[in-house]
Amino acid sequence: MSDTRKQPEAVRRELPLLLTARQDLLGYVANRFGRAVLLAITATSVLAVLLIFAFILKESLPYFTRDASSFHEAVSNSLERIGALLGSTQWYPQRHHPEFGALALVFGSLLVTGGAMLFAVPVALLTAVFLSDIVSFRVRQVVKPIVEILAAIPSVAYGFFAIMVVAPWMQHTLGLPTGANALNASLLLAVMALPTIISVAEDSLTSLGRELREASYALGATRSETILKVVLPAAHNGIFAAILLGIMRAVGETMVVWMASGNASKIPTPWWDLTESVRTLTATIAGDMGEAPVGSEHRHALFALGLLLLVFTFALNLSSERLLGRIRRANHTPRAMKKRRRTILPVLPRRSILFVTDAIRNAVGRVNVRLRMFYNHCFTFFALLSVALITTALLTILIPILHKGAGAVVFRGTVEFRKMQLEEFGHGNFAEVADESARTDLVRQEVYRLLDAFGRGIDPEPLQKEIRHIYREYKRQLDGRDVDRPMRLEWPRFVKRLRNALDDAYETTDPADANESLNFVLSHAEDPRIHGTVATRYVRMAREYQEVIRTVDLSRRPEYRKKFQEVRDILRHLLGPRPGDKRPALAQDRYGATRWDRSENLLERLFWVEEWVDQGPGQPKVQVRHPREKDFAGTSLASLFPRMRNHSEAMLLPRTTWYWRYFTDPATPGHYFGGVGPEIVGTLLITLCALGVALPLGVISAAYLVEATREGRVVRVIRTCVNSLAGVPSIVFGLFGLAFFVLWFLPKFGLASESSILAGSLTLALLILPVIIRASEEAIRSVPASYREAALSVGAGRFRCFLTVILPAATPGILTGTILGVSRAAGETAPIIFTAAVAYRYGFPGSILEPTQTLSYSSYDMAVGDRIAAMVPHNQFGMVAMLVLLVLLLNGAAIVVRSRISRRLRGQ
Amino acid sequence: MNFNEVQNDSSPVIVARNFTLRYGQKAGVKDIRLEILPRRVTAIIGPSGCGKSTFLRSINRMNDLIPTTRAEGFLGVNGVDVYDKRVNLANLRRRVGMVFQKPNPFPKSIFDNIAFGPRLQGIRRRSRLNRIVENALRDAALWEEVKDSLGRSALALSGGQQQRLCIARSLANRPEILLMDEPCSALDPIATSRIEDLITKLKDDYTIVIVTHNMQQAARVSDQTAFFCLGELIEFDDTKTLFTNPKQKQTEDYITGRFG
Repeated sequence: MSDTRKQPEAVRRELPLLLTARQDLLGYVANRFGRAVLLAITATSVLAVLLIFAFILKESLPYFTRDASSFHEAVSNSLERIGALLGSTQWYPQRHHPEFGALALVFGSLLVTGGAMLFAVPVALLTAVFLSDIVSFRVRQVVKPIVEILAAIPSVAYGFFAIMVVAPWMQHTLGLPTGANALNASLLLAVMALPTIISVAEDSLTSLGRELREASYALGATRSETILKVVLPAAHNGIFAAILLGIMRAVGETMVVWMASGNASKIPTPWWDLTESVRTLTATIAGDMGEAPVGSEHRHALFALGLLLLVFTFALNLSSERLLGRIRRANHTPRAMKKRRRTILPVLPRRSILFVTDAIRNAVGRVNVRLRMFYNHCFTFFALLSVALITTALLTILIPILHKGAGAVVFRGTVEFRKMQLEEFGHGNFAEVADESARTDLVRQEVYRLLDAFGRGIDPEPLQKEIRHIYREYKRQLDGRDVDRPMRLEWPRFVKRLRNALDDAYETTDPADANESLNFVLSHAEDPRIHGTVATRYVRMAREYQEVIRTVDLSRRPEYRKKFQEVRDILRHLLGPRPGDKRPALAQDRYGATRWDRSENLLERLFWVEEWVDQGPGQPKVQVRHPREKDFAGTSLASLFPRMRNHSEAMLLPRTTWYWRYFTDPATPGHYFGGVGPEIVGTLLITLCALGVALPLGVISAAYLVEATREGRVVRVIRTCVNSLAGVPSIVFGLFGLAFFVLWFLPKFGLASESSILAGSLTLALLILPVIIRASEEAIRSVPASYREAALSVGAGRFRCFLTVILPAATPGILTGTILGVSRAAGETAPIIFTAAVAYRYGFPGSILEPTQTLSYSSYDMAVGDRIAAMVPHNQFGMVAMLVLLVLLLNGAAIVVRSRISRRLRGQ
Repeated sequence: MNFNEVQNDSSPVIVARNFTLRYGQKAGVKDIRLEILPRRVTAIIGPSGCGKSTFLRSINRMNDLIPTTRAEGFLGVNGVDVYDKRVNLANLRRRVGMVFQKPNPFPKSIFDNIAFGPRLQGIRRRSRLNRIVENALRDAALWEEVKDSLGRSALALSGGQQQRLCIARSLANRPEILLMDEPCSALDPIATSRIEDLITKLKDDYTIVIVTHNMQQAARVSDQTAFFCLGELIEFDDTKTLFTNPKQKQTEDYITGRFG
């Protein structure tokens, strides 16, 4: 029975079962050391929370203490300042005698949040119920992505939609004085809070399990009765938590309220009037920071607002965590339930069955069955309605953004576009563009001729300048010629008379006067005094002008002048500067309409005059339009309009253009021309740097929390900090990034003393750290225990086991969380406003120590801040569409990667 | 202790003396006295929750995964107390292989599954790994079925094949003891009979301890049988004796199907 068959891989009997003392010691030390290192890394989250509190407090402290000399004074000052902050509505942050009363701001925050919850809570709860109790698995697979997409859309895109689409709609259709008001902000905030509320509420509803529902159905309850009387009461903790999280989302939101709420620091009258403009805490921080110099009282006051926000969300977060923790415990350890001292309602899953059975039995006994079925159908109908509402909201937001955004890439480009591309960016075929320019210039010449001819009657100033110039020229000519002295005195006097006559003709608005003067000039056409000199041009000009006054009613000259100026302006926008003009300094003035849609708009404006006409006292003005041609009827300019109508295409040569370089081109100031290349690069750089920091930290933290330690006080503290970090409003991250990374940490290492990609990405790293930790923790925890057992049973150590078996199996989950974190980072705006973003700089970011433009911040700036950008709506929409697309692509990638890897893990 | 000197047929490889394992306050198994002889198949039977698996998992310390376990008494493998603080867990588990109730291949290829253990020991040479994998798969009677698809995911195999793969994975470590925790409970009858054949074949080279719910299986494959009840060892004897002529009333009740 010896094991001869097993050579050379003999049974491993030589492996010693006991460790040597050295191995033992080394193992102990390595274990301890490893744990310490892991703990240190995991403690980053704790550190982050502490630092955020510390630095926000540090920066706001001077506001409270007001350079007090003693502790006692500091305390009394602080109390007074807190009273002022919360007791006054006067927010006047000017330099002299500033007032910092935040009551209106706090109220604004609460008002928009309350408004948002008013819309969001019913819809969200009905949808959650719809998903958990009404529809089949397959329908859920369709509805959930809708909710996920809503969650993925960056807040700046919502803000953009609010200001670009909702606000004009409110102003025009609803007739509100301003579209930027609390209602607008509330609506958008509601849409943003929906996904949070839905997912948390749905989780808590599904986690109740089937038994509870079956108990109710078995007693003859309808679905609506089951849901309303059994399921919802039993899940009340989770639903409260869901609403709290929704409130947190809404209170902490910056971009939407900043863009949509109107930013008026006052309490509306009556206080619940949502159609008035308000201003929130977050918007004030974001908006005022640019005007608050370092060390000023204003800046400290803004940090004080940040502190207020931080404390508020922190408290909300802790309470939602308690509620959720209660559910978790309730579902896992029924015995622990009994020990719970109090819940909000005295309804516990188990007891609730009894409680509810009574209720239902009573109800069944009393109410007519048909009525009950009717209620049931009504309920289902409302649930369906809320899902339809959400879908509509998603489509209403996405479609205009993507559709108009696509216009930045695909459009009918004119010859002006091709010229611009060639000259500003060096793309395109030179010969072709030159040929096209020549062709179009030929057609345009006639237009310019008409303009000039008419202009001479309307705007004599250039003519007057010209005749003066001719006179000077004449005198110079005379100096050069050998003429007698009397002639030299007399001739110019004569020419001057001609000049003055012509001048009078140009000046007068009476055709008879003008003709008289002109005739005087013409009668001297053959005079020897001017014969062969430049002054003969006077005669030609007089003839021309005679022609002009025959067509133009000189008495209406001032009126024509204004109208003609309009025509000239429109044509200048349409065709660009005239050949031979000086090259304008601004890129946007160098070219005509580069896009055919814009050309069409301009032509429309050329052909039609729109006016607001008074209807009499007390009546609203009405817009009317009439053809512009009528204004110029009978003049030489009248022929311009049919000409423009017939030859506009020949003048601009529009053709379908795929502007792929939109994704790589830099832009001219205000994004008037060019693309979003630097914004994409900036966004990717910031995001990747943030990921580079957050991913290792997050995965290691998760590994520590799951693998290396047991549930205990340390883990509880860490987890609370992770959750708190997740709940910190993004604008507070921005404040922290400014106070810590930009002003303290990076300068300490001499890296950068102003905003930079590095500072922004470090800030964003802290923001996405909780996302990654939670996803990774979940992923690692869900690796089947059998893998661990199998690995350990063949002799792997815990570390090896983690690296070779558990981590690969957890990869899909970690990856999903990572990509979601990335898409969050790519879409965030508030944290990088003070730390990394600039609205415009030419070209691409040079290093990570420089600030950069990003898709998110540029979307904001183009929608609100930039006058030039407001003239090119397709570029405004193009920017935000790029951002939305990028984020949605990342989310799509997350889904694909997850399903691919998990299919591979399942062995298919 | 030099193993080779003690190694003969008569001296037991696994010895339990007053062995007790507690989960918190509750005892999983208590006061076990047992000696398992080399190159035999020892079956552990008993009703659910009687501590069979707990005892089995104590032998290679898999119970460590469950927090708050505490061991008392002596549980020796080759004379070394496995609950000694100085035990080299990796080596212990290499020498005491284990097969679990549900097949638990890693989500890797068949080859990588088998080579997992040898690679942990630092074997990197492909030719050597190939040989080990082939031997292990042959020993587990799986070679003929998978030799052409070693790169396929192990999760694509059938349940029975997966279980034999797990056995092969343990064998690749060349253990001396193989612990099997109800290895057939998740398998259909055909797969079960193949595993049983395999066990019979393997006992020439390995000491096998198998926990089973199925008394027929215990009777078919084992040389000795231990009957556990409520965490205690009730009876331990040759299988034939235990099944035909149990000394304890409880054992008789159990094997005749009066309870359990």
